[in-house]
Amino acid sequence: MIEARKVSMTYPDGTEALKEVSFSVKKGEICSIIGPSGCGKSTLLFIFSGLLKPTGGEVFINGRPVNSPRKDVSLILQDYGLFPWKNVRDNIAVGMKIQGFAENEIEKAVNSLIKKIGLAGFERSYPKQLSGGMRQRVAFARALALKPSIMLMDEPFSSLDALSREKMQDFLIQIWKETSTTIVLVTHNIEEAVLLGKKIVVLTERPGTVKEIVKNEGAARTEYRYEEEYFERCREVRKLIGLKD
Amino acid sequence: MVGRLNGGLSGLSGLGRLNGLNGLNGLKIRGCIFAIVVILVLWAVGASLSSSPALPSPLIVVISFISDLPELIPHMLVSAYRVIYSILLALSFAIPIGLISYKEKIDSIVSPFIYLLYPIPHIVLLPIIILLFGIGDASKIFLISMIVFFQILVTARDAARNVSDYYILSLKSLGASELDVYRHVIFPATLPKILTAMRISIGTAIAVLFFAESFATSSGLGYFILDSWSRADYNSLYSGIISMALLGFSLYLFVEFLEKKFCKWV
Repeated sequence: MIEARKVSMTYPDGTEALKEVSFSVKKGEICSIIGPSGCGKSTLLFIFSGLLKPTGGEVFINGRPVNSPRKDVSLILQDYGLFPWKNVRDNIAVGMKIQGFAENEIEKAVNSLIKKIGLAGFERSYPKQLSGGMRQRVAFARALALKPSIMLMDEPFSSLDALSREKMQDFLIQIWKETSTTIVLVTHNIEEAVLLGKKIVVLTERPGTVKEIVKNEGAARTEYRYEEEYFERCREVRKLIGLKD
Repeated sequence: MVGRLNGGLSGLSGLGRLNGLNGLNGLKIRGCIFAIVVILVLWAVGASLSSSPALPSPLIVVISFISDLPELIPHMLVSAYRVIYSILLALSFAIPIGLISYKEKIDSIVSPFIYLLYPIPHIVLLPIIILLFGIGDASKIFLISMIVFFQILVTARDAARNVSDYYILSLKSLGASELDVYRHVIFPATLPKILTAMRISIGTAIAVLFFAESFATSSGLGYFILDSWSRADYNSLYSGIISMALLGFSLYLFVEFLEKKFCKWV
């Protein structure tokens, strides 16, 4: 379980990014965070991951305050965070290497992940030789290699075209169903937030505060896209963000 | 299924580009042969036009090079030892100092030293270096490595400063230690620039080697060249020049080999 308690963040240059943000994400839940650009969504994820210390308030994961990156939390950065100098295999393996897994264990895990993401035959390719969707899948595999209990994703699909985007959303739903990992996903796309988030946290403009938390129990199913409830929720979130219908 | 096929095809074309390197090598080899032929022809024409003993024809030079070989090899080995030792020494200091400069705090200490010491023409320090280190190998190696050190340090430092925080954050989110950041991000990200700096510094190192071997020694290709010159033995003079060129060329090829092996991603 992740719990943000009155999290505030003011950068050294005086920019107030977040102000007293409080909400919690249950174990095994998918939560999407949405808000206008520049509302501190990414900052919030960095704080959750332990890479950034909030200037006010605290974040707890399973009851313990977060002070540094945790082994059971994976962060997928915007634009995938892959290393251009590592091939697919080494990009997936790097997290396990850092955490000191045995070489044969890494080999086994990486091979099965490459098959799972459908990139068999591309082990020795470099990120720049892959399409956006393929890079995204490598980033997923790298995160999954560590068998995290929490996955944090910053605009994971924002640079994909509409078709690959839907495919990757389905892929994410499938991963979530198989692993029941807790997922926190930042997005500025209303449809994506509604499709994926069983809980949708709507943030205000900078400094970001929680405007509303929308319950969305029907989410995280691929069929949801065609259901009345889905459209209803999209309208609701659109209104909350302040866009006209 | 169609999507997967498409993905596969676009990926394959990417691989094709990599394999295309072989084709490029073929082109390169043909280009090299062409360049060698042109240079030799121009040289031969120049030699026959000038008909001066200071510009013998390529054929004579090749023959004298082969006959001089037994005498040349010890000099070549000494020069190779001096220049390789110097470059390795320079690298072993320049790379670590350059890489740790990715940190603002360390850079604020390192860069003033670079600004003050780099622009000095270090070669003028030779007399002082000889006074301090004597006339043996130590002074030659110190002079070459000092000059190469700055060339590589400046490049490594600039490259490390330019590594995006994004990659460092990406690695740290996986629980990386400071050492992991160097191993997985800073070093591989800067390696292409460091190898380019090495290529440039090979030329510098050999030029300085010639200068350092030009007096107070009786070994090395620099000595061999000057000795042949003073004896007006022009054929041996050319043998020495060719040996020095070959030394530089083989070091250059070695760095290119390293680039091919470790910087495929560029």
